[in-house]
Amino acid sequence: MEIRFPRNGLHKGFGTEEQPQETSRVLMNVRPYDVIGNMARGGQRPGLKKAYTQQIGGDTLPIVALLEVSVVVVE
Amino acid sequence: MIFVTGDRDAGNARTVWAYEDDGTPAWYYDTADATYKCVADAYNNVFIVGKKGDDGDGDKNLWKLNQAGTKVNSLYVQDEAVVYDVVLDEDGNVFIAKGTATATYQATKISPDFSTETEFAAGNLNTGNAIMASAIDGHIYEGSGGFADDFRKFDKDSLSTELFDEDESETCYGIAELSDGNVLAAMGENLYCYANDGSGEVWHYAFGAAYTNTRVVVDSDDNIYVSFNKYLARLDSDGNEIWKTTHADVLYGVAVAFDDSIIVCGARTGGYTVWDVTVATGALVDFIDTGTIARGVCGTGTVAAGGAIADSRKFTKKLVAIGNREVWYESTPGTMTELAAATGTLNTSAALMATEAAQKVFIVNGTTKKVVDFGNTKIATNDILLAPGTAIPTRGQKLTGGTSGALMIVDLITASDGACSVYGFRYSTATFATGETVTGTGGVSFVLNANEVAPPHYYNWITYAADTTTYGSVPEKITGVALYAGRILAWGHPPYEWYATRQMNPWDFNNGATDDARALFASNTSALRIGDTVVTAIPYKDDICVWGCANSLWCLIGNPAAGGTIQELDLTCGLLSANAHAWDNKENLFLITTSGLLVVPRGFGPPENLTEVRYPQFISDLAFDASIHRLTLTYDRQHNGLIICRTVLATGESTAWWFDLRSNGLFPEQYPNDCGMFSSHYYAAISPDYRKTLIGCNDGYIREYAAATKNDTLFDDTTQAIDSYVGLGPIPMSPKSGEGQLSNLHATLAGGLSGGGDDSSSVGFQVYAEDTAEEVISKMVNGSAPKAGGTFTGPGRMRGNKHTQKVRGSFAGVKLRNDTASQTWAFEKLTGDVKPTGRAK
Repeated sequence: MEIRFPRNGLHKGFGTEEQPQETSRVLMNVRPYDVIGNMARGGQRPGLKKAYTQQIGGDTLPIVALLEVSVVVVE
Repeated sequence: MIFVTGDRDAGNARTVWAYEDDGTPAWYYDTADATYKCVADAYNNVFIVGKKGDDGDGDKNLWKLNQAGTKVNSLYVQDEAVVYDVVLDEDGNVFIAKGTATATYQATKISPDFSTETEFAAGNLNTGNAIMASAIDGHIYEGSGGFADDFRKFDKDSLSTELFDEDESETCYGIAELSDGNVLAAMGENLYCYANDGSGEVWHYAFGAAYTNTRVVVDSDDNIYVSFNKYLARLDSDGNEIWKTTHADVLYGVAVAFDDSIIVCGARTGGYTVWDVTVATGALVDFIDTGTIARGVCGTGTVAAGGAIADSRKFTKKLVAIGNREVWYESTPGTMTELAAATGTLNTSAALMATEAAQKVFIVNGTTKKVVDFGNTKIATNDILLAPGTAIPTRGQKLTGGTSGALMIVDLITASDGACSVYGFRYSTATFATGETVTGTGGVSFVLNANEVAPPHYYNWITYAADTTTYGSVPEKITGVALYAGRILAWGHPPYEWYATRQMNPWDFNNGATDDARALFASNTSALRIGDTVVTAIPYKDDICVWGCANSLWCLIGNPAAGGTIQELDLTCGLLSANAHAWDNKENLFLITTSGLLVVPRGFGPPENLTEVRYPQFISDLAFDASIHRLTLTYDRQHNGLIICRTVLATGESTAWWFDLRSNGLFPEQYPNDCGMFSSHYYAAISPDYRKTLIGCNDGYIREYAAATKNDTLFDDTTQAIDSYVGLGPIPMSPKSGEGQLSNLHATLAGGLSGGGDDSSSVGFQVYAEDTAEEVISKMVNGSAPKAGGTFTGPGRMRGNKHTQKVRGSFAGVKLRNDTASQTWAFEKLTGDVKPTGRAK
């Protein structure tokens, strides 16, 4: 027996004895492309870290909109 | 470079002088007699005309010298004693205006290699003094002198077709053109502006006396500089005099040089023959001395040898985040700064949406409608209509600071009379200053009450000049906005209604116009009515916009004001949330709808449901309730997948999925409540360091997925381990539903290369074996007590990793798990021995 990571992810559509190849019903915080080598062999998801040190709004309240704007440079 | 022509200096035999842009001498050339005018091409080749001279190659009156001052070619054009003017067309043809000693006609076309000469077959037996090849209409304008038909327009190709003529009975010495195609003729007593279509004079500027050798040039902003005798004047494009200065001696030439600077030349005074013009005042700054009368000057851009490669980018980008009733923006790359003017003006507990358009962010928040303007400079006046006869600036109009010379293109004015702020794009380096009079064409004139204010600005979204009669009104209440084909789409009040601004004008909501760019609202256009409650608009390229509604999906195709139609995309499902859509890098559109995760393939084929087979209960398990949840769908360009996240508004608790577009697999995820996702955006920053998928989180911090980060970072910078697991199986233990035995489990984890690469941490495992597959799955899900377990030690395939313990059952499952802080893992394969043992009990 040789089993690989279920690269096709969650599958709950078939009977439990007919679980499709490379799928699973038991998954959490894993992804098919791992963060160590970026290969399709499966592993833990990447972590979430702060991208900016500033806290938007200065309080523990959610950021409700995030977007970008392009601005012309005056030469 | 700068090139100067002039009288021959007997002491230093020179008639052509070349300088670097800063006035450093480059080279000289001697044509053997006086030269009059010159013109340079894009390669710094210079073409010179003047009195015939023998530079050792026989009599010539046209010379082409390269940027090193070496003669490339020369010609004795029709044996003329004097050639007065020379220009080039875009094909490199040379056109000259010449005297009439032996020729009948005043203008000649010469091929780029000087091999052919063709006289214009029209003439009036007077001296041709000036010529211009229009960069706008491609025709040739020629000025001659003194009698009938002293200014004429010719067809460039036929050379015989005179398109129009003007007779001022004055000699024409200089010609230029404005950006609107109207042409300027500097004559003896006046500067005339003629309509390009031959309909005659538009305006004229009187010199006050008769002069010779008048000249005119126009800079890239349509400022006109005209020299006449000892005078130099700057006019606006309507012929209004901005200043007029008097020089000590006669000026013979004026030119636009490098970087739109203005230079003039003339009789030698004070040890100089060429001066740099201070464009704001007309003051002449000593610049170059050729030693003798300078009769012509021209300039070109300079390509610096061996210089650094300039940044070709003409724009930058800023990240904008909204939270806790505040707007923050990226003031410098990597640093977010609060926009103080916005503080407390938004209700971030209510529906809020924002879109970028025209260097601004338009924010709608119910009855609050705001603009964050990052592109415009603000100037202000106490009275935009200063006096009777003045006018308010129109959108797109150029304004000029009377003292500073600062230039602005108007975008928005806030009032049509009295106190007014003017927002516009300043494109000059000069800045607007308090007290100066700002003018524009059509009688625009007002006085500034403060120095200009740099962006960003924060103001109410209004229509132009707050003139509701002409421009309509911004809808009273808006819950969503999007940019589509140059229009801002707005919707939400009433829920089935949507509005569109005029194309390229977010300040115009007047739907009473009839042109194709007009503003509109859906209910007054039968082809645009939907009827369903609008959730959001999803623009796609320039002519398609998907309308996600509560119970249906629609597609707007084309210009809604010119034949555009609304067509059904799917009438069986609706969009769950305004943020529940994303485009991938292959132009597929993903939507979380009432029937599942849909993909609308590139080209708008039939939608495909990605969850109905693999996860039929996806929507019911999602249990999205807009009153208590936030639902976002994000395309992560870095990892090529979709992030689906349902966040509880009150707590930040998240239920998330990663849909990997490479394997087409759905993978559940969980994040700490601090990291609960409320907004997301792939930030295509200028700097690669900041170019990433960003998450607007529950705790007010912006986060990113980082491959090298093995934990989730919390509000207080502490970390939380990621609890990750996968269940392998169920594994049938016998081919005929009998029992079997599983043993000798061995896992190969990632890494273990000698001398390099990142390694997998160890992974715990639990082995389940039961009579049914469902039981195995249930126990793996619930974390029930396994029949066997242990740890596969990483990295790679370690000795001692084989676990020989045997388990029996009809189905087996192996759950791999790691919930240790600062660890991550990856997995190559699991091997084991399965041996049927007989019939099931």
